[in-house]
Amino acid sequence: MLGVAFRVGAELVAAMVVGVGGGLVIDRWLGTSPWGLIVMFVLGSAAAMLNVYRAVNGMGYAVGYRRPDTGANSGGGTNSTPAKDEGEGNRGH
Amino acid sequence: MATDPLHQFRIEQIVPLHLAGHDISFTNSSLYMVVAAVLVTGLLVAGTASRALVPGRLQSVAELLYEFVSGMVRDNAGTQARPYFPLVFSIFAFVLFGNMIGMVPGTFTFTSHIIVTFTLAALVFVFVTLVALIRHGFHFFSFFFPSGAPIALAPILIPIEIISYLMRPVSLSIRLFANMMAGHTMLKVFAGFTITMIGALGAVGWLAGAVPVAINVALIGFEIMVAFLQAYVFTILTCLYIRDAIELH
Repeated sequence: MLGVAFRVGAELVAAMVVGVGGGLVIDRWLGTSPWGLIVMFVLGSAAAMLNVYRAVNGMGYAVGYRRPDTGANSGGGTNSTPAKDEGEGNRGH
Repeated sequence: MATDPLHQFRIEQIVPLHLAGHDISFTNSSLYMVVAAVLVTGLLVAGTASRALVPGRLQSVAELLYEFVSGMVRDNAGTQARPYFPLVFSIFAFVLFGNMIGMVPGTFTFTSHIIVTFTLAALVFVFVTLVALIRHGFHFFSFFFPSGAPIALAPILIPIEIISYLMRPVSLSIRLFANMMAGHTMLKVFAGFTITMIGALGAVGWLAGAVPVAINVALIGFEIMVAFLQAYVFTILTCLYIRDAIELH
């Protein structure tokens, strides 16, 4: 739905803001220009993808957080469609 | 004729104030924050004054608002999150009223400024972090390493998890501010088309100018939905963060 789309978009932008901003701050602080920026940009992109994956997959929004019932339903690694739908429905998007 | 679509976001001082070199003037933004706070308080105080068994109109609205947020906290943050209900309710009511007041023509939408939404998001972030630290102590830091991942991946995973934790207030504030600002700018741009067409085309312009007005009618309905949806999303995510802080993993 629209809510999910808005959420995913903001997620990507926020990761870039934190990654690049953090990189620039580290560079200014430690004088490591441009390595802080490069490393933090890559890590920020990874965090963005991770959070988009979590947001869309209905795994709970959190860092490292896995909802116990979703894990049991989907049987570990694979995410079947019913479990995914249930996860979406629970959060009302 | 003012057709600058960004003019509506201008901060204007009403009562200039300065404290220790900082500008703490009472602005139009502050004015509408006070209006929102007064309206929320007024609704709840007036709505609960009669305490009727069969609620009147105002009491129904107050009860609806209370039960909506209460259900949201119960479903998304868990039953242990009861003590944090007042915070979640205040945030939802403040953001919702801010967004909705902004839909009244001629008003100022304080949620369209990132400093306002970021302050709200930072409040949530600091609060949730403190709750997690107080409840779990140093166990909180296990949050940054997904359980079951190989130790060899720690140098990559831990920075990524820390970034995605720090991202929370940023994405929370960007989402709300960007939606409100984009929506209000779009309304003004379409309204501006009408004025430009009338100015440039004369009689034909009055006919052609009706098209953007028709679009705006649909857009205002859409914007009211977005105003509610964004307040809802902000609050749902607050609930999910509180749930993480309580349960960790």
